[in-house]
Amino acid sequence: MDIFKKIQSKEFESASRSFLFFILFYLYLWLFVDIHLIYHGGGEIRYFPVFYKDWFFFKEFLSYPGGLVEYLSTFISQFFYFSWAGALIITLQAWVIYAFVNSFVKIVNAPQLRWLRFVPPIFFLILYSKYTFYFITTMTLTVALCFIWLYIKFNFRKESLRLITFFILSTVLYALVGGAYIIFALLCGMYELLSRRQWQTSLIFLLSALIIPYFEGVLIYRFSSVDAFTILTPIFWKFQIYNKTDGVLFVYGLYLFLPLLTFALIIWRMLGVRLNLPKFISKVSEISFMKNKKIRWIIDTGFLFLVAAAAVCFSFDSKRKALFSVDYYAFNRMWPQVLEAATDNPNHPLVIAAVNRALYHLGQFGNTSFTLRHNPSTLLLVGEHHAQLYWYQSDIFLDLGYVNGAEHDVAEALEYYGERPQLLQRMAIINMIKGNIGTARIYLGALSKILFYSGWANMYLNRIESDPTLSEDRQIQYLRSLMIDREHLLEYPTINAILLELLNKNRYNRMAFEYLMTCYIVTKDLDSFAKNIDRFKDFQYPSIPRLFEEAILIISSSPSGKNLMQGKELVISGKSLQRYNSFLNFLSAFKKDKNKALREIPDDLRDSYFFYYTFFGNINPDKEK
Amino acid sequence: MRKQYRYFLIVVLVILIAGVVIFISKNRGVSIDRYNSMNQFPKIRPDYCGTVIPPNIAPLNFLIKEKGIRYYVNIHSKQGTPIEILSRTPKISIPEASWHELLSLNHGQELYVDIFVEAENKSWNKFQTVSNKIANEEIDAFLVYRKIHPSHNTWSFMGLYQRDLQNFKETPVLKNDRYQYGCAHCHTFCNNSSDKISISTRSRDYKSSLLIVEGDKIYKIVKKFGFTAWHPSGRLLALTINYPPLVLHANRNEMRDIVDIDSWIGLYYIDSEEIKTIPQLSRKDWLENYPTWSPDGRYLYFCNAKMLWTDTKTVPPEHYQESKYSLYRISYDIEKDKWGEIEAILLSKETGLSMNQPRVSPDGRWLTFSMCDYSCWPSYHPDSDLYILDLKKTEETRKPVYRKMEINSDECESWHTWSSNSRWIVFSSKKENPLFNRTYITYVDENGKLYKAFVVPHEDPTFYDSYLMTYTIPELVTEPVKNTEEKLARVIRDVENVPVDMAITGATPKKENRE
Repeated sequence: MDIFKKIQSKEFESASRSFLFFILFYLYLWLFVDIHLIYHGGGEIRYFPVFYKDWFFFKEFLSYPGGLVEYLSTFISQFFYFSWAGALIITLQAWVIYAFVNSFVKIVNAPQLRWLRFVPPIFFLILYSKYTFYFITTMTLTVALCFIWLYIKFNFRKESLRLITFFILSTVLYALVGGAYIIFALLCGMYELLSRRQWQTSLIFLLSALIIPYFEGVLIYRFSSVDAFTILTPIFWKFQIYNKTDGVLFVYGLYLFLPLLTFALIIWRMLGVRLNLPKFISKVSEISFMKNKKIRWIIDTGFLFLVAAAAVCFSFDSKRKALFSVDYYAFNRMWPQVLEAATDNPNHPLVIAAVNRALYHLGQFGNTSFTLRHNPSTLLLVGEHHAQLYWYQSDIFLDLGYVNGAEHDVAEALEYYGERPQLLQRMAIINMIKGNIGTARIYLGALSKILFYSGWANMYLNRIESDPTLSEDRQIQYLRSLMIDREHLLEYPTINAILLELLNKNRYNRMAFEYLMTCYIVTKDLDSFAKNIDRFKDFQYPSIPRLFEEAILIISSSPSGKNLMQGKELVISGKSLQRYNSFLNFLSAFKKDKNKALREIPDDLRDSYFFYYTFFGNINPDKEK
Repeated sequence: MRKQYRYFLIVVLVILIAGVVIFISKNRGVSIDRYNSMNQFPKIRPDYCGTVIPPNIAPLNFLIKEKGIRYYVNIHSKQGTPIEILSRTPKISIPEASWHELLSLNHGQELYVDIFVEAENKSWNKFQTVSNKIANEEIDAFLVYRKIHPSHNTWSFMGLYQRDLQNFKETPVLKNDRYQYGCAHCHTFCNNSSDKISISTRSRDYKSSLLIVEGDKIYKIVKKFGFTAWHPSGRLLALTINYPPLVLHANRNEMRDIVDIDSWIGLYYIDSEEIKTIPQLSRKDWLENYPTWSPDGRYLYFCNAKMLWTDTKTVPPEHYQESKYSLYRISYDIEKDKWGEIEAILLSKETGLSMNQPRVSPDGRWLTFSMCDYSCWPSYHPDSDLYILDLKKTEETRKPVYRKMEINSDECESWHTWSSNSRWIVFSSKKENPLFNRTYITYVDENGKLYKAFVVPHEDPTFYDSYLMTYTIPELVTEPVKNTEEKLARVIRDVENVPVDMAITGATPKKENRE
């Protein structure tokens, strides 16, 4: 009875620790990592699969080994749409691997190594703290481990039965998971050696790691031998192309953890070394207060959490999170949140671009601090052409009404990121703006088969049905009114040329105007700025935005500028005049020492255009381009 | 009776009863005695009304776009058992076996489709009977095409597929995930047979190459080729070398445009494994493109435009929107390997349009081609239409006798192929939307008259409503491609290739490189 109680109490200790660990694991992923950011992808995650509620979509997965688990993973991963559900899924997956390691070390009679069961969940924490997505490949591993558990649980004494079981499971498993089958064969082989010392069986199992993938993958599925052995494992070429992050090391770790552990056990046993806890741990456990169960529980648990916390601290990528958050909020047009999230990664060009957009939509574009966006190329993101840039640029272009520019970006992004619902949504909108209702219908039709997007798609499909020209959709009508209609190639010579073209089409395009004027002041092209000052009248500004006022003051202060400004009826606020005077007074105090002036300029003048104009070099937007 | 036997009997009885119930319910005849006759045709999608269909085509499943709670469809012809379908959904799936039986009994007859829709108030409405004609001539059973997203500069997933037109089976011929997302395009077959194939490929990892299949023999030439055309003898391939960059428009609805900045036509001799250029087809100031052979192999038809620019580095080049291609041919004697003089068939100055993609019908009577406002990529020109030229009458009158095909729409019609019996044309059309090409089939009678085209049927009649791939370069073949995907891909991945002596670039070769 005593022994039973002891076991019970030990089990309780362990179970309560694990329970607490996984509760915190879940809460961390849900509330802190915010898994739905990974679903959205931030233009960083290239391979987040799309799932269609469609028989033909399912059929595609039947044509290759691993397709079924990929299909299942694709479906499950859609629930990353909700942070709480995504966190729950990952927690369950980590728990399954944890539980497997726990029972495996017990079965191979190495209970001293039970503490290692927390290693895979910690790897999961690291992977998601880095905002990476390897769900499909970790899922194939999870299924392979479940099959090993099944094999062990069958526990047939007769060798022939064990062989039959193994080959049946092997055939099914390879079709289910592809290359991750090799882990199954290796572990089953090593398990036979460790627990039964069956060299022959073990050898057959180990050899089947070569035979089954070749037989099924190469001869039946007709795949190349490299693909047959690697498909859906972290070394599969598709994942190598899609997921170029350092997180992949931890996926390798997850795959290799158990085979290496088991191999080490075999070597230790072969060498006749007894498996003891490290000496210092044994000594620690002999200290009197360590004999107190509660204290020991607290210390053990604390140590575990310390390790997990350290792993999280070192791996958590706050800048990446900020980038993901900014993109998510910008996509959902949650502008105040964009500004808040941007503070953790303020210098990233994509963040700056999103901040510019947010400021424009909040009516603060010409008023707010200049320090974040002193590079004209971040206004329209016309830099090097790469997919991530297309992802962000398309929304800026769409807001501006530069619809073909947006279409090009989305078309490129679709090839790079796959048929992601966010991109399909943009394509549907673009085609509705262009009046290509037949094409829009196809994108909407595809979206209507995607979880969580069907409502939006069906709403538009019905709208198109009742109003094919979408004459009552104000947003579509507005964007149509901005579209360029003059023959022109997409590759404009300069950023300014795009914005001017948009203003030529519709002089009331406020975003194009504010971006153009900002471009001029950033590049210190104040002559062009002055030439466009009359356009202020086209917009109902209660007062001229601060930065533009400051530029006007600078122009007016020079003799040539005065000429340019002649006849322009502009009211400059007293506040701006006062700031300008303070700035001039400050400068005159440091007449000869510009560097000292730069260091000592008061904070309230630091975000002025006067400061930028005086202390920053010239930037040529075309060079930036 | 022992207990076990009693249970066994009960189980058998239950199974039998269930079987009988299912059998009866499945074969229950539908009788609609009272119905309202509607004075209109039913709205159905795809539009399978008033067309001519091949007797070996897969069932034309369709969607009834009429509101109702039940749908009854009766498909019948002069002979054979009518097909009756009662459905609670508007998606009508026709049983394959009955369909083929009905079609095989009624070559040359009308095929009638009666559609009844049960309204909410339980009354049935019968629409006017839809009829299609079953042709006497079959269509080649397999259609090979490329599927790709309507992409711009970047591409990822694409592939060549073959569709068995007699059913709904589509199998990949070569998907680009077999060679790390390279590009596969411009596949051609010799005499509608899958025995000889050429496929142009592009790949960063395995270099660009031309894959040549001759029965079981597969090899590649590591050079970047464009369009290819097999000589009917199968002994040589006409091929183009192009430099066609993508140009994007800021204002046009179809923003993509392609300009062939420089191009020429060469010949690959299968037996001697060498590439030759012919001075007439590689002139410095001309753009030769789209070669295609007459079925007797005596003429090579091609498109040709004057190069309006001297600077081949600027994209797009100046005056590119004035570049218009004309139709020409050149005679060839394969036995003597001798070329004749170039003859003009139809000049752009006569039509005001640019001619592309010529194809000669296997009986040698018709030449079909596309025309658009300028340049060489009709697929990106909404104004592109298909035309048919009567070669016999043109020969007789010494004047081009041609006309616009009846099957054109307001959107783009472009890539097309003939069936081996010259009675069917399969072509790409964007008639339903301006972005995604879908593949259509049309019947051509012996007088060159074309009948209403219909989209290649799919098992799910709503399939095309949400499918994000575009279908291009359809090619009809009589048998399926037999080599497996992996076998083809292995050759692409392999380092081994047929060495070709001459340096081939996008530019027209200099004089010393010519024959």
